[in-house]
Amino acid sequence: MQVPILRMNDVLIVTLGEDITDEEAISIKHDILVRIKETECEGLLIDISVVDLIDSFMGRVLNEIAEMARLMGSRTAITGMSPQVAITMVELGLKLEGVYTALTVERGFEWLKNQKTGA
Amino acid sequence: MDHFKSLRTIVADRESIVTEWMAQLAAERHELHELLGSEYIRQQSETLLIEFPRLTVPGTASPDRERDSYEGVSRWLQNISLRTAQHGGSPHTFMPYLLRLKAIISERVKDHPEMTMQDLYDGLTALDRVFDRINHLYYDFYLNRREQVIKAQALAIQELSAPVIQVWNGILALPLIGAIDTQRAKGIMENLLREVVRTKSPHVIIDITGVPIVDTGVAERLIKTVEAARLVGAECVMTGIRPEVAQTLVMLGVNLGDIVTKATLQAGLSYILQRIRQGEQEAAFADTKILEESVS
Repeated sequence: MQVPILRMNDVLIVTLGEDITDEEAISIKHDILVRIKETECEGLLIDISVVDLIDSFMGRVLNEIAEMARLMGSRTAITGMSPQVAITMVELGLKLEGVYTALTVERGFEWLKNQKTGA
Repeated sequence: MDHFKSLRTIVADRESIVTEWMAQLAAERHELHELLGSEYIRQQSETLLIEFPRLTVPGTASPDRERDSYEGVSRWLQNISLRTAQHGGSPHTFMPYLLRLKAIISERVKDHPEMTMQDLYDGLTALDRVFDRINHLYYDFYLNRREQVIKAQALAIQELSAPVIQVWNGILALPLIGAIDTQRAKGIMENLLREVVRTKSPHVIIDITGVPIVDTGVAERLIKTVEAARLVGAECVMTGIRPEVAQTLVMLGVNLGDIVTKATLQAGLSYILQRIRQGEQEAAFADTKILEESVS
């Protein structure tokens, strides 16, 4: 499954779909990193509002993406996590430390914009 | 041989049994009389006696037939036990009433003419088993009914116990009251997250003034709630930590980590309002900067 990675100003936007297999997760991770290098964007926004299940693998991949993006000079915001997913993540002990989480894409975008200017 | 037959002939004398039964209840000023009224009891007693001859002695008929034969009495029990419970009665009030009937019938079995010793024994055994079955059914209904009430109350308590209040645009407050156990903590967490997402509120104040004991278990659950709220995109401030609670937490070595804590709900609210203002300024600053960049 090909996941579109959109660019808006200086931010890359990725929307994750409902069912993502482990292989797809790894290829998405790869694609995102390649795009960051190409575009030299300083912000990455991952929207997971349609995802209703995240397992430990997917949780780890999200953490890795954020960490790798940070090494490449890009901040990560994850938006729209559903309550059920959040509860599962907490139960699994996945805290997504170092990742900014926001309720809506709009708020995530705002945060990334503020980060960029270093305000 | 149907030992129940002799009982049926005895019970057929409905009028006199009911009269005797009611007279005895009235004589001892039975509680049920006062609860439900003597007229109602008289009617119900007659209904029971009409149903009585249809019963079979447990174990003597096929299971299906046995169930069918007790259907009428089941319905009767359901009605009267519900009514008794609604008026504050319990098995302590109902059972003596029912067992009084058994005593009356036993007495009549004994006085029945043309009874051999064997018939007498068989008749009384049959009577015993029928009443055992009725008791059993009654307790089933009673316990079921009790359980329903308890479940309904538990639900009501859960709903009452963790109201999520919108105190400001984008700010929710969660005043916690009473002991927090695992089940409640789970409900509170789910409820809070649902409200956060529904109202799109990025700020939450969790006030624990009303929580009597905060031990490691409760603290862990609160931390989990804060973490889950952060994941959906809301920042939590914890308020109302009383001196004794602060002492226990430190003594237990519980680390609340990065959770922002404030003394009072008011302090928590003003902290959040300040954060919001700060955020707006940053956003405005970022906007002007982007504007400047695009101009130059």
